[in-house]
Amino acid sequence: MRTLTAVVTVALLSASPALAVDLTFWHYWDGTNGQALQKLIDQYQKAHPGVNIKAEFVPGGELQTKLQTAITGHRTPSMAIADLTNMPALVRSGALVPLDPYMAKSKVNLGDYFQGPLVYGKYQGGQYSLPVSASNLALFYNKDLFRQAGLDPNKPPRTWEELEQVAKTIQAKTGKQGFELFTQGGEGTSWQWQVFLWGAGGDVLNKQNTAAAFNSPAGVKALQYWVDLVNKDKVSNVAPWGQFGRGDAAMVMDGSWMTQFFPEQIDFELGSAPFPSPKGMPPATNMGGEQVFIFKGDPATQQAAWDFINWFSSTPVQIQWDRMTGFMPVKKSVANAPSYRNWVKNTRPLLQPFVDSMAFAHPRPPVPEYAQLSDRLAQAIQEAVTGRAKPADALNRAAQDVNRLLK
Amino acid sequence: MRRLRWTTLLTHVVLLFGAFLAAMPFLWVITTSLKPNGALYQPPLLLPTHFEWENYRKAWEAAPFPRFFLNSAVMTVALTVLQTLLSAMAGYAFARLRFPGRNLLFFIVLGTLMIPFPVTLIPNFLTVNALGWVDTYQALIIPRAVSAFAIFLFRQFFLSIPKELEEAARIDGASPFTIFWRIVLPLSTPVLAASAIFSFLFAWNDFLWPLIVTNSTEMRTVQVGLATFQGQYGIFWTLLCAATVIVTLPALLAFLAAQRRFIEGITSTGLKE
Repeated sequence: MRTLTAVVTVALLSASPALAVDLTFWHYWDGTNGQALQKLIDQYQKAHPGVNIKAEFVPGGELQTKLQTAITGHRTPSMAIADLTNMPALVRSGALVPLDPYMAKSKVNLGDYFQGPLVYGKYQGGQYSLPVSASNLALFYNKDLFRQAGLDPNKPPRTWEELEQVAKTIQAKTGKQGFELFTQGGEGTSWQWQVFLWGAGGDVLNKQNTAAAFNSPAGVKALQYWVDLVNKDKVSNVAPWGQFGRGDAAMVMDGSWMTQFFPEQIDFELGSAPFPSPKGMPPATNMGGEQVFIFKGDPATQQAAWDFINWFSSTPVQIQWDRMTGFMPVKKSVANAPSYRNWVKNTRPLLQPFVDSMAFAHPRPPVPEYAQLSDRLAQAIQEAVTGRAKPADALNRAAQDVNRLLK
Repeated sequence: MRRLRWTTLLTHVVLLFGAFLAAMPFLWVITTSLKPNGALYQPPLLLPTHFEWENYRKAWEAAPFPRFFLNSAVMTVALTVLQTLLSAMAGYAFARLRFPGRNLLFFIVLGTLMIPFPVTLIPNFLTVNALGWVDTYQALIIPRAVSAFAIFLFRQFFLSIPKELEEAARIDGASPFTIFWRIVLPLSTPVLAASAIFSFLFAWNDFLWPLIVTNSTEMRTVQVGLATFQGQYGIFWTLLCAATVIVTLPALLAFLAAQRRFIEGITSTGLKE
């Protein structure tokens, strides 16, 4: 009997590596990012011969539609990524596997992660997704225009007051727009303004994410600052996006990914810096990025998917990933690793302020109603900037609508 | 005489202006496809001063376009043939055959034209999924093998064919199918061409359904390939426009080849879309 058990055990053990596991992984990483993912998958498969991972690319804007159809039709892939703002709807779908037991077994240290992006995977006490890439906003500036205005191109503004001053000086000396704001509405306006809101010490929603909080004195201060930039100082204008890229504006708030795109598009010297905050206030920024999660399936597939995610999320692999893609680190151990820091310093110096900003990057409220909320908020911002309403009134009205939305 | 010339001139100026407005987006796509990335926003807007042919090579290599073209071709040819043939048969039945519930059925078919496509997306996907067709040509073709719009187009046209022709054939002993196939269809080339072109353009430009029912790169179509250039972190305008030109060419050629038929078909059925 004992020998039989032993034989069976040996047979099972030796059989298990040969048991092929097929995994599908839906993502929207295009171009070099997609190639980087494939490179890592190849690397993983070489080390784990039994695992076959098929990465399936779905164009950016359509991934969420496809995920939702797949969930309704019970035709989900083994694992997928999604933009973090789509995570609240996904974790509530009931189709995702809670990662906590896997994380406990693999001794994952959540404390090593930047805390901001983690909130998107949390639901009813469980963790359903992990951040795998991040991006955030900081200040880009045109060093040539700084020089033309007689300013030190290595001294970007550090506070709101300096930003205003620098913008005025440049505008007076060069005739170019001082600071470009995204005034075209929608999420573009909303997510830029949130940086000012957090900078002024406010927040979008209350702690429990059940009611609007952006109509606080801090919110009014942030919106008044925008109104003044446009209407009093006239250093910003209501115009289609893209003035900075054409060299018609001296400063702009834009994302970490633009450290890759701007150099291909512009013909002036580019600088970057953490985004200014009001004097005496801690800095703040907004962030984006992707989260990875596992769909419910048979235990062997779930386990194999987790094993890959766990490997993908490990610090050495994440360093490779961030260096290949230019994504912001999601873990402190990556941001602080000498091999990563040296790479930034030597090959992508423009990225440094963004890496430093990860520590104070705030998450947008992780609620499924975020898209509508953001639209309504952007509307209020536009009303104030175009002088159709006082900042406090515009924000209060938006808050009423948002509260109704969250009920 | 003098006055006539003035009005002709004026008409031509107005028409030229209208033609320019209609052609302007195409011109913009073509010139943008030939601009270097950095010059995207620089004037001149329409006439390129420098031709960046490299964009076309880059766009072609950015996604497996040969495979996408094959898939789009298979789907487009199949849909064009099936939609035209099956819709013509249905249209003939609604126009000429007498059977109980004919009008009700026809109104139901017309009614489906009023349901927006996204509403049927998930039920259709569930059906295709239950049949095990996800990621196959069947999924791309079968659910759209008949078009309510084409049925309507054919029915209206068939009603305009003199009944006497068919009655003569009937007296000679022809079956309804023979009448349809040998008498009615040969008389219907304008509407056949119109329906075929509608089907062709619909299939070639279709995006959402192919995206939803295919997963692997091997089954994707050209329109899904185009979406590759609209990344999460920015749109690659120059490459997107180059790829758009490549992908639009077959549809443009098909339209030019059948343009006369197309206009005949539309005018003879009294339809405009």
